[in-house]
Amino acid sequence: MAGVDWEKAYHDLEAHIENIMRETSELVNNASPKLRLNKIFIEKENTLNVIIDATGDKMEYAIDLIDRKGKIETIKTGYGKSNTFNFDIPSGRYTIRAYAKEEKTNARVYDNKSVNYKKVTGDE
Amino acid sequence: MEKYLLISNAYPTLDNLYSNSFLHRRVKAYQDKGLKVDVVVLTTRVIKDKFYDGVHIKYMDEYQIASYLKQNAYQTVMMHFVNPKMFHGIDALSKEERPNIVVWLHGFEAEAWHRRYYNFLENISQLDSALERKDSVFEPQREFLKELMTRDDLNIKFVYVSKRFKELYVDPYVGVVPEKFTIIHNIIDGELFTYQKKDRHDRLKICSIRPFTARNYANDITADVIKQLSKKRYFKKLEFNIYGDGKLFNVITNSLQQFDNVHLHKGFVQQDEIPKIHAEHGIFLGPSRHDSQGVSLGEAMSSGLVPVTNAIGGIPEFIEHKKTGMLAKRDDVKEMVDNIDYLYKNPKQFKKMSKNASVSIQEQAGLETVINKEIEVIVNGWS
Repeated sequence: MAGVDWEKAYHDLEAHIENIMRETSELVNNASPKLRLNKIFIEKENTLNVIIDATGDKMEYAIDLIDRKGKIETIKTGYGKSNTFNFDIPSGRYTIRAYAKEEKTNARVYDNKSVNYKKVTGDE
Repeated sequence: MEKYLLISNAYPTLDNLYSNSFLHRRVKAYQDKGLKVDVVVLTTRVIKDKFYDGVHIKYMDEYQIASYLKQNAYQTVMMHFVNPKMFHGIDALSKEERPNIVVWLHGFEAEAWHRRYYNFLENISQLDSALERKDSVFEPQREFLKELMTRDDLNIKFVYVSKRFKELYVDPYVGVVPEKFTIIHNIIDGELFTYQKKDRHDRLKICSIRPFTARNYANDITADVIKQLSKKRYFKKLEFNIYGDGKLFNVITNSLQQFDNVHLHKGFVQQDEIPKIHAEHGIFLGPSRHDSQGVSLGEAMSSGLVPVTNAIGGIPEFIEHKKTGMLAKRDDVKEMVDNIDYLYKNPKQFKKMSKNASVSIQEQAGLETVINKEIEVIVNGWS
Protein backbone atom coordinates (compact mmCIF):
# COMPACT_ATOMS: atom_id res chain seq x y z
CA MET A 1 0.00 0.00 0.00
CA ALA A 2 1.47 3.36 -1.02
CA GLY A 3 1.63 6.01 1.65
CA VAL A 4 0.36 9.55 1.89
CA ASP A 5 2.72 12.14 0.41
CA TRP A 6 2.60 14.32 3.47
CA GLU A 7 5.23 16.75 2.23
CA LYS A 8 3.31 17.54 -0.95
CA ALA A 9 0.06 17.84 0.98
CA TYR A 10 1.69 20.10 3.56
CA HIS A 11 3.03 22.52 0.97
CA ASP A 12 -0.43 22.79 -0.58
CA LEU A 13 -2.01 23.40 2.80
CA GLU A 14 0.64 25.95 3.70
CA ALA A 15 -0.41 27.99 0.66
CA HIS A 16 -3.84 28.15 2.29
CA ILE A 17 -2.74 29.16 5.74
CA GLU A 18 -1.83 32.75 4.97
CA ASN A 19 -5.21 33.25 3.31
CA ILE A 20 -6.99 31.63 6.24
CA MET A 21 -5.21 34.01 8.61
CA ARG A 22 -5.89 37.07 6.47
CA GLU A 23 -9.57 36.30 6.04
CA THR A 24 -9.99 35.40 9.68
CA SER A 25 -8.42 38.75 10.54
CA GLU A 26 -10.96 40.49 8.29
CA LEU A 27 -13.74 38.55 9.94
CA VAL A 28 -12.60 39.48 13.42
CA ASN A 29 -12.04 43.14 12.52
CA ASN A 30 -15.44 43.45 10.92
CA ALA A 31 -17.28 41.36 13.47
CA SER A 32 -19.77 42.97 15.78
CA PRO A 33 -18.51 42.89 19.35
CA LYS A 34 -20.39 40.58 21.67
CA LEU A 35 -23.05 42.47 23.60
CA ARG A 36 -22.16 42.98 27.24
CA LEU A 37 -22.84 45.50 29.98
CA ASN A 38 -19.50 46.60 31.42
CA LYS A 39 -20.36 49.00 34.21
CA ILE A 40 -23.01 51.31 35.61
CA PHE A 41 -21.53 54.66 36.66
CA ILE A 42 -23.36 56.74 39.25
CA GLU A 43 -22.93 60.46 39.94
CA LYS A 44 -24.78 61.97 42.87
CA GLU A 45 -25.38 65.70 42.36
CA ASN A 46 -28.56 67.71 42.44
CA THR A 47 -29.78 65.00 40.11
CA LEU A 48 -28.93 61.30 40.14
CA ASN A 49 -26.87 60.74 37.00
CA VAL A 50 -26.44 57.27 35.57
CA ILE A 51 -24.13 56.32 32.72
CA ILE A 52 -24.31 52.87 31.17
CA ASP A 53 -21.07 51.55 29.75
CA ALA A 54 -21.78 48.65 27.38
CA THR A 55 -20.14 46.97 24.38
CA GLY A 56 -22.11 45.93 21.31
CA ASP A 57 -23.30 46.92 17.87
CA LYS A 58 -25.59 49.96 17.46
CA MET A 59 -27.00 49.95 20.96
CA GLU A 60 -29.91 51.55 22.78
CA TYR A 61 -30.12 52.06 26.52
CA ALA A 62 -32.84 52.17 29.16
CA ILE A 63 -33.20 52.40 32.92
CA ASP A 64 -35.78 51.25 35.43
CA LEU A 65 -35.38 53.28 38.61
CA ILE A 66 -37.06 51.60 41.55
CA ASP A 67 -37.62 53.35 44.86
CA ARG A 68 -36.94 50.62 47.36
CA LYS A 69 -39.34 52.08 49.88
CA GLY A 70 -42.01 52.51 47.24
CA LYS A 71 -42.55 56.22 47.92
CA ILE A 72 -42.36 57.11 44.26
CA GLU A 73 -43.51 55.06 41.35
CA THR A 74 -40.87 53.13 39.40
CA ILE A 75 -39.47 55.25 36.57
CA LYS A 76 -39.08 53.43 33.25
CA THR A 77 -37.23 55.54 30.72
CA GLY A 78 -37.76 53.35 27.64
CA TYR A 79 -34.98 52.74 25.13
CA GLY A 80 -33.06 55.62 23.57
CA LYS A 81 -29.72 56.29 21.90
CA SER A 82 -28.17 58.10 24.87
CA ASN A 83 -26.37 56.10 27.53
CA THR A 84 -26.62 58.91 30.07
CA PHE A 85 -29.65 59.51 32.30
CA ASN A 86 -30.40 62.25 34.83
CA PHE A 87 -33.11 61.76 37.43
CA ASP A 88 -34.47 64.64 39.49
CA ILE A 89 -35.64 62.59 42.43
CA PRO A 90 -35.83 62.94 46.20
CA SER A 91 -33.12 61.47 48.40
CA GLY A 92 -33.63 57.81 49.14
CA ARG A 93 -32.56 54.26 48.48
CA TYR A 94 -33.01 53.14 44.90
CA THR A 95 -32.33 50.15 42.72
CA ILE A 96 -31.16 50.98 39.24
CA ARG A 97 -31.76 48.36 36.56
CA ALA A 98 -29.73 49.34 33.50
CA TYR A 99 -30.39 47.84 30.07
CA ALA A 100 -28.48 47.81 26.81
CA LYS A 101 -29.88 46.25 23.65
CA GLU A 102 -28.76 45.95 20.07
CA GLU A 103 -31.00 47.67 17.56
CA LYS A 104 -30.57 45.04 14.87
CA THR A 105 -30.94 41.82 16.83
CA ASN A 106 -32.93 43.05 19.85
CA ALA A 107 -30.48 41.09 22.00
CA ARG A 108 -30.57 42.59 25.51
CA VAL A 109 -28.40 42.61 28.63
CA TYR A 110 -29.07 44.24 31.99
CA ASP A 111 -27.57 44.68 35.41
CA ASN A 112 -28.77 46.02 38.78
CA LYS A 113 -27.12 48.47 41.08
CA SER A 114 -28.26 49.78 44.46
CA VAL A 115 -27.71 53.39 45.34
CA ASN A 116 -28.20 55.41 48.50
CA TYR A 117 -28.90 58.82 47.04
CA LYS A 118 -28.65 61.99 48.97
CA LYS A 119 -29.62 64.97 46.90
CA VAL A 120 -26.86 67.57 46.78
CA THR A 121 -28.31 71.06 46.76
CA GLY A 122 -26.55 74.31 45.80
CA ASP A 123 -26.54 75.47 49.46
CA GLU A 124 -24.31 72.63 50.58
CA MET B 1 -26.26 -11.65 -17.21
CA GLU B 2 -24.26 -9.82 -14.57
CA LYS B 3 -26.07 -6.94 -12.91
CA TYR B 4 -24.58 -3.74 -11.53
CA LEU B 5 -26.03 -1.33 -9.03
CA LEU B 6 -25.29 2.37 -8.70
CA ILE B 7 -26.12 4.01 -5.36
CA SER B 8 -25.97 7.77 -4.94
CA ASN B 9 -27.36 10.61 -2.84
CA ALA B 10 -29.24 12.04 -5.85
CA TYR B 11 -30.01 11.25 -9.49
CA PRO B 12 -31.57 13.39 -12.20
CA THR B 13 -35.28 13.06 -12.94
CA LEU B 14 -37.69 15.01 -15.13
CA ASP B 15 -38.43 17.25 -12.12
CA ASN B 16 -34.77 17.86 -11.40
CA LEU B 17 -32.71 17.46 -14.53
CA TYR B 18 -29.44 18.74 -13.13
CA SER B 19 -29.17 16.75 -9.91
CA ASN B 20 -25.92 14.80 -10.36
CA SER B 21 -26.54 14.76 -14.11
CA PHE B 22 -22.99 13.45 -14.60
CA LEU B 23 -24.14 10.14 -13.08
CA HIS B 24 -26.85 9.74 -15.70
CA ARG B 25 -24.30 10.38 -18.45
CA ARG B 26 -22.28 7.50 -17.01
CA VAL B 27 -25.22 5.11 -16.60
CA LYS B 28 -26.33 5.71 -20.20
CA ALA B 29 -22.81 5.07 -21.41
CA TYR B 30 -22.55 1.86 -19.35
CA GLN B 31 -25.86 0.72 -20.84
CA ASP B 32 -24.60 1.53 -24.34
CA LYS B 33 -21.63 -0.71 -23.60
CA GLY B 34 -23.98 -3.55 -22.66
CA LEU B 35 -23.94 -3.33 -18.86
CA LYS B 36 -27.20 -3.84 -17.00
CA VAL B 37 -27.24 -1.07 -14.41
CA ASP B 38 -29.87 -0.37 -11.73
CA VAL B 39 -29.97 2.88 -9.81
CA VAL B 40 -30.85 3.46 -6.15
CA VAL B 41 -30.97 6.86 -4.48
CA LEU B 42 -30.42 6.89 -0.72
CA THR B 43 -33.15 8.93 0.96
CA THR B 44 -35.13 8.93 4.18
CA ARG B 45 -38.22 10.19 2.34
CA VAL B 46 -40.82 7.86 0.84
CA ILE B 47 -40.63 8.39 -2.91
CA LYS B 48 -42.14 6.22 -5.65
CA ASP B 49 -39.84 4.77 -8.29
CA LYS B 50 -39.17 7.10 -11.19
CA PHE B 51 -38.14 6.52 -14.77
CA TYR B 52 -35.87 8.96 -16.52
CA ASP B 53 -34.51 8.58 -20.04
CA GLY B 54 -34.61 4.77 -19.94
CA VAL B 55 -33.28 4.45 -16.38
CA HIS B 56 -35.35 3.02 -13.50
CA ILE B 57 -34.60 4.91 -10.27
CA LYS B 58 -35.51 3.42 -6.89
CA TYR B 59 -35.54 5.46 -3.67
CA MET B 60 -34.61 3.69 -0.45
CA ASP B 61 -33.35 4.32 3.05
CA GLU B 62 -30.38 2.38 4.38
CA TYR B 63 -32.54 -0.47 5.76
CA GLN B 64 -34.41 -0.89 2.49
CA ILE B 65 -31.08 -0.96 0.66
CA ALA B 66 -29.94 -3.73 3.01
CA SER B 67 -33.06 -5.84 2.26
CA TYR B 68 -32.78 -5.10 -1.44
CA LEU B 69 -29.17 -6.26 -1.55
CA LYS B 70 -30.09 -9.46 0.28
CA GLN B 71 -32.71 -10.23 -2.34
CA ASN B 72 -30.79 -9.09 -5.42
CA ALA B 73 -27.34 -10.30 -6.32
CA TYR B 74 -25.13 -7.71 -8.00
CA GLN B 75 -21.64 -8.31 -9.30
CA THR B 76 -20.54 -4.80 -8.43
CA VAL B 77 -22.12 -1.99 -6.42
CA MET B 78 -20.98 1.51 -7.43
CA MET B 79 -21.23 4.25 -4.84
CA HIS B 80 -21.05 8.00 -5.38
CA PHE B 81 -20.84 10.43 -2.45
CA VAL B 82 -20.49 7.52 -0.04
CA ASN B 83 -21.37 7.83 3.64
CA PRO B 84 -21.99 5.37 6.49
CA LYS B 85 -25.73 5.16 5.78
CA MET B 86 -25.11 4.33 2.14
CA PHE B 87 -22.75 1.58 3.18
CA HIS B 88 -25.11 0.07 5.76
CA GLY B 89 -26.62 -2.33 3.21
CA ILE B 90 -23.20 -3.81 2.40
CA ASP B 91 -22.38 -4.29 6.07
CA ALA B 92 -25.69 -6.07 6.59
CA LEU B 93 -24.57 -8.81 4.18
CA SER B 94 -22.31 -11.67 5.21
CA LYS B 95 -18.79 -11.58 3.81
CA GLU B 96 -19.69 -14.26 1.27
CA GLU B 97 -22.78 -12.36 0.08
CA ARG B 98 -21.03 -9.05 -0.44
CA PRO B 99 -20.68 -7.80 -3.99
CA ASN B 100 -17.61 -6.06 -5.35
CA ILE B 101 -17.65 -2.37 -4.47
CA VAL B 102 -16.40 0.68 -6.33
CA VAL B 103 -16.45 3.98 -4.45
CA TRP B 104 -16.11 7.22 -6.40
CA LEU B 105 -14.65 10.12 -4.44
CA HIS B 106 -15.71 13.44 -5.92
CA GLY B 107 -15.08 16.22 -3.44
CA PHE B 108 -16.71 17.35 -0.23
CA GLU B 109 -17.32 13.81 1.07
CA ALA B 110 -13.59 13.13 1.19
CA GLU B 111 -11.94 16.43 2.15
CA ALA B 112 -10.95 18.12 5.38
CA TRP B 113 -13.62 20.44 6.71
CA HIS B 114 -11.28 23.43 6.63
CA ARG B 115 -10.34 23.20 2.93
CA ARG B 116 -13.29 25.45 2.05
CA TYR B 117 -12.69 27.75 5.00
CA TYR B 118 -13.70 30.85 3.00
CA ASN B 119 -17.26 29.56 2.77
CA PHE B 120 -17.83 29.93 6.49
CA LEU B 121 -15.97 33.13 7.22
CA GLU B 122 -18.85 35.42 6.35
CA ASN B 123 -19.71 35.76 10.01
CA ILE B 124 -18.86 34.29 13.38
CA SER B 125 -21.97 32.11 13.60
CA GLN B 126 -21.08 30.39 10.30
CA LEU B 127 -17.65 29.65 11.68
CA ASP B 128 -19.09 28.39 14.97
CA SER B 129 -21.50 26.16 13.07
CA ALA B 130 -18.67 24.68 10.97
CA LEU B 131 -16.67 24.02 14.12
CA GLU B 132 -19.66 22.23 15.64
CA ARG B 133 -20.11 20.14 12.51
CA LYS B 134 -16.42 19.26 12.65
CA ASP B 135 -17.06 16.83 15.50
CA SER B 136 -20.58 15.74 14.64
CA VAL B 137 -20.31 15.32 10.87
CA PHE B 138 -16.84 15.70 9.41
CA GLU B 139 -14.88 13.60 11.89
CA PRO B 140 -17.23 10.56 11.70
CA GLN B 141 -17.05 10.74 7.89
CA ARG B 142 -13.24 10.78 8.03
CA GLU B 143 -13.21 7.77 10.36
CA PHE B 144 -15.66 5.98 8.09
CA LEU B 145 -13.50 6.53 4.99
CA LYS B 146 -10.36 5.49 6.82
CA GLU B 147 -12.01 2.27 7.91
CA LEU B 148 -13.36 1.65 4.41
CA MET B 149 -9.89 2.05 2.93
CA THR B 150 -8.23 -0.32 5.39
CA ARG B 151 -10.80 -3.12 5.89
CA ASP B 152 -9.70 -6.51 4.65
CA ASP B 153 -13.16 -8.07 4.52
CA LEU B 154 -14.23 -6.09 1.44
CA ASN B 155 -13.47 -6.41 -2.23
CA ILE B 156 -13.32 -2.68 -2.82
CA LYS B 157 -11.76 -0.20 -5.24
CA PHE B 158 -11.68 3.59 -5.12
CA VAL B 159 -11.91 6.04 -7.98
CA TYR B 160 -10.54 9.57 -7.61
CA VAL B 161 -11.48 12.26 -10.12
CA SER B 162 -7.92 13.54 -10.30
CA LYS B 163 -4.47 12.64 -9.01
CA ARG B 164 -4.02 16.01 -7.36
CA PHE B 165 -7.42 15.74 -5.70
CA LYS B 166 -6.28 12.45 -4.22
CA GLU B 167 -2.85 13.63 -3.15
CA LEU B 168 -3.68 17.13 -1.94
CA TYR B 169 -7.17 16.75 -0.53
CA VAL B 170 -8.16 13.14 0.17
CA ASP B 171 -4.93 11.40 1.23
CA PRO B 172 -3.96 13.88 3.95
CA TYR B 173 -7.58 14.04 5.13
CA VAL B 174 -8.08 10.30 5.50
CA GLY B 175 -4.46 9.58 6.43
CA VAL B 176 -4.25 6.35 4.44
CA VAL B 177 -4.17 5.33 0.79
CA PRO B 178 -6.35 2.39 -0.27
CA GLU B 179 -4.76 -0.65 -1.81
CA LYS B 180 -6.81 -0.52 -4.99
CA PHE B 181 -7.50 2.82 -6.60
CA THR B 182 -7.67 4.39 -10.04
CA ILE B 183 -7.67 7.98 -11.22
CA ILE B 184 -10.59 8.52 -13.59
CA HIS B 185 -11.75 12.01 -14.41
CA ASN B 186 -15.30 13.21 -14.72
CA ILE B 187 -16.56 13.11 -18.30
CA ILE B 188 -16.14 16.18 -20.48
CA ASP B 189 -18.76 15.51 -23.09
CA GLY B 190 -17.28 16.25 -26.50
CA GLU B 191 -20.63 15.75 -28.21
CA LEU B 192 -22.23 18.50 -26.18
CA PHE B 193 -19.14 20.71 -25.97
CA THR B 194 -18.00 20.40 -29.57
CA TYR B 195 -14.84 22.21 -30.62
CA GLN B 196 -15.48 25.37 -32.56
CA LYS B 197 -12.49 27.00 -34.21
CA LYS B 198 -11.72 30.41 -32.78
CA ASP B 199 -10.34 33.41 -34.67
CA ARG B 200 -8.11 36.16 -33.27
CA HIS B 201 -11.07 38.40 -32.45
CA ASP B 202 -12.58 35.78 -30.17
CA ARG B 203 -9.87 36.46 -27.59
CA LEU B 204 -11.61 39.80 -26.97
CA LYS B 205 -14.78 38.03 -25.90
CA ILE B 206 -14.53 36.78 -22.36
CA CYS B 207 -17.19 34.84 -20.52
CA SER B 208 -17.66 33.42 -17.07
CA ILE B 209 -20.33 30.86 -16.17
CA ARG B 210 -20.17 30.09 -12.47
CA PRO B 211 -22.47 29.61 -9.50
CA PHE B 212 -22.48 32.63 -7.18
CA THR B 213 -23.42 30.52 -4.18
CA ALA B 214 -20.08 30.24 -2.42
CA ARG B 215 -16.66 31.84 -2.35
CA ASN B 216 -14.79 28.82 -3.71
CA TYR B 217 -16.08 29.84 -7.15
CA ALA B 218 -13.97 32.97 -6.72
CA ASN B 219 -16.27 35.29 -8.65
CA ASP B 220 -14.89 38.12 -6.54
CA ILE B 221 -11.59 37.54 -8.32
CA THR B 222 -13.36 37.75 -11.70
CA ALA B 223 -14.71 41.16 -10.66
CA ASP B 224 -11.28 42.30 -9.45
CA VAL B 225 -9.63 41.12 -12.68
CA ILE B 226 -12.12 43.11 -14.77
CA LYS B 227 -11.58 46.20 -12.63
CA GLN B 228 -7.82 45.89 -13.07
CA LEU B 229 -8.22 45.34 -16.81
CA SER B 230 -10.28 48.52 -17.03
CA LYS B 231 -7.01 50.43 -16.58
CA LYS B 232 -5.63 48.97 -19.80
CA ARG B 233 -5.83 51.05 -22.96
CA TYR B 234 -7.48 48.22 -24.86
CA PHE B 235 -10.16 47.58 -22.23
CA LYS B 236 -12.96 49.02 -24.37
CA LYS B 237 -12.17 46.46 -27.07
CA LEU B 238 -12.95 43.65 -24.66
CA GLU B 239 -16.44 42.30 -24.04
CA PHE B 240 -17.37 40.43 -20.89
CA ASN B 241 -20.42 38.31 -20.25
CA ILE B 242 -20.90 37.09 -16.70
CA TYR B 243 -23.46 34.31 -16.20
CA GLY B 244 -24.58 32.81 -12.92
CA ASP B 245 -26.84 33.03 -9.95
CA GLY B 246 -26.67 32.86 -6.18
CA LYS B 247 -26.69 35.00 -3.08
CA LEU B 248 -23.33 36.59 -3.98
CA PHE B 249 -24.28 37.68 -7.52
CA ASN B 250 -25.41 41.23 -6.75
CA VAL B 251 -22.81 41.80 -4.05
CA ILE B 252 -19.97 40.84 -6.35
CA THR B 253 -21.17 42.27 -9.65
CA ASN B 254 -22.53 45.64 -8.46
CA SER B 255 -19.15 47.26 -8.94
CA LEU B 256 -19.07 46.06 -12.57
CA GLN B 257 -22.23 47.89 -13.59
CA GLN B 258 -20.17 51.00 -14.33
CA PHE B 259 -18.63 49.30 -17.39
CA ASP B 260 -20.58 49.36 -20.68
CA ASN B 261 -18.69 46.36 -22.02
CA VAL B 262 -19.50 44.13 -19.03
CA HIS B 263 -22.84 42.37 -19.40
CA LEU B 264 -24.35 40.73 -16.35
CA HIS B 265 -26.70 37.80 -16.91
CA LYS B 266 -28.20 36.84 -13.58
CA GLY B 267 -29.86 33.42 -13.64
CA PHE B 268 -29.20 29.71 -13.68
CA VAL B 269 -27.75 28.62 -17.01
CA GLN B 270 -29.16 25.33 -18.27
CA GLN B 271 -26.55 22.88 -19.46
CA ASP B 272 -27.81 22.88 -23.05
CA GLU B 273 -27.46 26.68 -23.20
CA ILE B 274 -23.76 26.57 -22.35
CA PRO B 275 -22.42 25.42 -25.75
CA LYS B 276 -24.10 28.45 -27.37
CA ILE B 277 -22.39 30.77 -24.91
CA HIS B 278 -19.09 28.99 -25.49
CA ALA B 279 -19.52 29.48 -29.25
CA GLU B 280 -19.69 33.25 -28.83
CA HIS B 281 -16.55 33.65 -26.70
CA GLY B 282 -12.84 32.92 -26.85
CA ILE B 283 -11.71 33.12 -23.23
CA PHE B 284 -13.28 31.44 -20.21
CA LEU B 285 -12.48 33.44 -17.10
CA GLY B 286 -12.95 30.91 -14.32
CA PRO B 287 -10.87 31.63 -11.24
CA SER B 288 -11.16 29.06 -8.50
CA ARG B 289 -10.17 28.51 -4.91
CA HIS B 290 -11.07 24.85 -4.77
CA ASP B 291 -11.59 22.24 -7.45
CA SER B 292 -11.05 18.52 -7.57
CA GLN B 293 -11.12 18.66 -11.38
CA GLY B 294 -12.68 21.84 -12.72
CA VAL B 295 -15.41 20.39 -14.93
CA SER B 296 -16.77 23.75 -16.15
CA LEU B 297 -13.24 24.75 -17.21
CA GLY B 298 -12.90 21.43 -19.04
CA GLU B 299 -16.20 21.92 -20.83
CA ALA B 300 -15.10 25.38 -21.98
CA MET B 301 -11.78 23.92 -23.17
CA SER B 302 -13.59 21.24 -25.09
CA SER B 303 -15.57 23.96 -26.89
CA GLY B 304 -12.30 25.69 -27.79
CA LEU B 305 -12.17 28.44 -25.18
CA VAL B 306 -8.88 29.26 -23.51
CA PRO B 307 -9.31 28.95 -19.74
CA VAL B 308 -7.88 31.61 -17.46
CA THR B 309 -7.85 30.24 -13.95
CA ASN B 310 -5.74 29.37 -10.90
CA ALA B 311 -3.21 26.62 -10.27
CA ILE B 312 -5.07 25.12 -7.35
CA GLY B 313 -6.46 21.68 -6.49
CA GLY B 314 -6.89 19.40 -9.49
CA ILE B 315 -6.81 22.17 -12.11
CA PRO B 316 -3.10 21.96 -13.12
CA GLU B 317 -3.64 18.31 -13.99
CA PHE B 318 -5.84 19.44 -16.88
CA ILE B 319 -4.36 22.78 -17.89
CA GLU B 320 -0.75 23.33 -18.86
CA HIS B 321 0.23 26.97 -18.54
CA LYS B 322 0.55 28.72 -21.92
CA LYS B 323 -0.10 25.42 -23.73
CA THR B 324 -3.74 24.65 -23.00
CA GLY B 325 -4.71 27.61 -20.83
CA MET B 326 -3.41 30.27 -18.47
CA LEU B 327 -2.75 29.58 -14.80
CA ALA B 328 -2.16 32.05 -12.01
CA LYS B 329 -1.30 31.42 -8.39
CA ARG B 330 -4.04 31.19 -5.80
CA ASP B 331 -5.98 34.48 -5.44
CA ASP B 332 -3.42 36.31 -7.62
CA VAL B 333 -5.44 38.96 -9.45
CA LYS B 334 -2.40 40.66 -11.00
CA GLU B 335 -1.16 37.42 -12.51
CA MET B 336 -4.59 36.71 -13.96
CA VAL B 337 -4.67 40.17 -15.50
CA ASP B 338 -1.19 39.54 -16.94
CA ASN B 339 -2.46 36.26 -18.38
CA ILE B 340 -5.34 37.95 -20.20
CA ASP B 341 -2.91 40.64 -21.29
CA TYR B 342 -0.73 37.88 -22.75
CA LEU B 343 -3.64 36.46 -24.72
CA TYR B 344 -4.56 39.94 -25.95
CA LYS B 345 -1.04 40.57 -27.16
CA ASN B 346 -0.49 37.09 -28.63
CA PRO B 347 -3.43 36.24 -30.89
CA LYS B 348 -1.52 33.43 -32.62
CA GLN B 349 -0.76 31.81 -29.30
CA PHE B 350 -4.40 32.23 -28.31
CA LYS B 351 -5.57 30.34 -31.40
CA LYS B 352 -3.03 27.59 -30.84
CA MET B 353 -3.97 27.24 -27.18
CA SER B 354 -7.65 27.11 -28.09
CA LYS B 355 -7.09 24.08 -30.33
CA ASN B 356 -4.66 22.46 -27.87
CA ALA B 357 -7.11 22.90 -25.00
CA SER B 358 -9.88 21.07 -26.79
CA VAL B 359 -7.70 18.19 -27.98
CA SER B 360 -6.01 17.81 -24.62
CA ILE B 361 -9.15 17.75 -22.48
CA GLN B 362 -10.86 15.27 -24.78
CA GLU B 363 -7.83 12.99 -24.63
CA GLN B 364 -7.89 13.16 -20.86
CA ALA B 365 -11.59 13.18 -20.04
CA GLY B 366 -13.54 12.46 -23.23
CA LEU B 367 -16.51 10.13 -22.94
CA GLU B 368 -14.85 7.06 -24.49
CA THR B 369 -11.68 7.44 -22.45
CA VAL B 370 -13.53 7.78 -19.16
CA ILE B 371 -16.15 5.10 -19.76
CA ASN B 372 -13.66 2.51 -20.97
CA LYS B 373 -11.55 3.07 -17.87
CA GLU B 374 -14.58 2.91 -15.60
CA ILE B 375 -15.92 -0.29 -17.13
CA GLU B 376 -12.51 -1.86 -16.70
CA VAL B 377 -12.63 -0.96 -13.00
CA ILE B 378 -16.25 -2.07 -12.54
CA VAL B 379 -16.08 -5.36 -14.43
CA ASN B 380 -12.49 -6.64 -14.32
CA GLY B 381 -9.64 -7.12 -11.89
CA TRP B 382 -11.59 -8.54 -8.97
CA SER B 383 -9.99 -11.20 -6.87
